[in-house]
Amino acid sequence: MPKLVHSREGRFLEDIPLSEGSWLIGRRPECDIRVDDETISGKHAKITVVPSAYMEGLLDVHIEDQGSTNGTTVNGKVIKRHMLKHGEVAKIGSHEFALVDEATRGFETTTVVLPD
Amino acid sequence: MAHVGDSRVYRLRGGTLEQITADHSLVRELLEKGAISAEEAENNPYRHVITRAVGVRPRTVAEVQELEAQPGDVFLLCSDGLTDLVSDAVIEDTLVVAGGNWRCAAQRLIDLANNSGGRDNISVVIAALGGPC
Repeated sequence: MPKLVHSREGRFLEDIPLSEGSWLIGRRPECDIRVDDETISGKHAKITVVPSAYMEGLLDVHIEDQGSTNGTTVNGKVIKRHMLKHGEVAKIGSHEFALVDEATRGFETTTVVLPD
Repeated sequence: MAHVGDSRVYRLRGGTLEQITADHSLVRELLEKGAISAEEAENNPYRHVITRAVGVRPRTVAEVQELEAQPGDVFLLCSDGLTDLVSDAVIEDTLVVAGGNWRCAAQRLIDLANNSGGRDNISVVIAALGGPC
């Protein structure tokens, strides 16, 4: 099961296990992942986890900026919507969310999947 | 010309580099079917997943193409260890400025890939038709 490692300025805060569903990140109380950094918008970004469009049995993890004031970056690049891969870090204000996904970790090198 | 997987053949003709083979990769096949967009294909977590390979099953079906070659054509055969790290534009420039010194060009391409991380094995073959060796 993939998870997000949530940290702030290098300090580990929590592990967030990801199953199918969505998580809103922001300062407002209704957010699933509440963060208290002033540079973060009320509803800043949304994580959506869906059955993989590429490979059966896996999950795809998407992050989408919700029109925030200061934006969301992945590996330093500002994104609107991005599919995270293992090892990538999304930055929201001073908070960081790194995706750890053992299932796709091996996919960084050539992987053979033959059709039946 | 036959290929299997995501190793590629490019042709340099008139100073322009063109990829001749289509990768046998999951992402490219989905892109071709219109199931995903070009933007989704780029930097995709599954981009290294290939759907054909030599040595996995007793028999492999290669994709075979017939092309007409012209004198002066230069063919580059390479593994994804190169193309994953070095862009087509840089490959094209490297081949064009080589001025016919293909051994040097091949080494330069390998160096470029190694300097960009060199994560995977890097294989480069340059075949120049009807020119000086």
